[in-house]
Amino acid sequence: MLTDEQIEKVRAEFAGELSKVRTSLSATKPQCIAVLAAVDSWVGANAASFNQALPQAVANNFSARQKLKLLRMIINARLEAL
Amino acid sequence: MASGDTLLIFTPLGNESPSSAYATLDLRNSHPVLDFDDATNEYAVFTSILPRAYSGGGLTVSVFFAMSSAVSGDVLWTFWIERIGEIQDIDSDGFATEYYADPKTVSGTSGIPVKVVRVLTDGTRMDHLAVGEPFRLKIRRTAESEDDTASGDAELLAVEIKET
Repeated sequence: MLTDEQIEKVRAEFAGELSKVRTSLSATKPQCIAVLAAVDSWVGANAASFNQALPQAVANNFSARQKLKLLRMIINARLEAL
Repeated sequence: MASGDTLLIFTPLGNESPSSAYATLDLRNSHPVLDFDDATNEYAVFTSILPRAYSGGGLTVSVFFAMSSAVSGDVLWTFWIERIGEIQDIDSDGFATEYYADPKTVSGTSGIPVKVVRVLTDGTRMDHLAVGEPFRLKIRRTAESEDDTASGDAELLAVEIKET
């Protein structure tokens, strides 16, 4: 789980990105923090499920950090496709 | 000069940026704005001379600001006056006590400015500034306060000082 400081850092980065492109956001800072905490909690709760979804024959060849990077890259690709 | 008359107007191009924690000059549809971060307290500073038309009624400072992205939440602004006159050594700062405006709810459309107002009564709250004297006005978005809830940059568009 991320610390409060880490969550706030992510929130500030998120808000900064939206500000740069002036994308409207109807959520306050406390609401964004609550959403990010929920996302972080979900990631933690589903880490095992994610791990099990990978092809088990090669899953052990990836470190935990590499698996998370793969997840991030897939999410980024999906984001860019939106 | 009568109560309510405009004494001074400041725009983003007149900002004298502090050496650190300064609001960033930006353009929004060709409007110069000063971007104030939502996570760190940032400052803008303006210098002028109190017009001789001022008749002792106190100052009302109004800040017009829009938001880069937020359409909900509040922004907390804080103000200081520094009397320079012929007394302040400009090698150092001599700002008087800080004064907060009430948290201001942002517009439901991010690009529509809203106005936040703070009255500074004549005397201590104006650092005993007198007519004809140079002074500085310092403005901060107090983003680190829990009362500042709006997400993303606040964009200062203009500042008016009128006689209260």
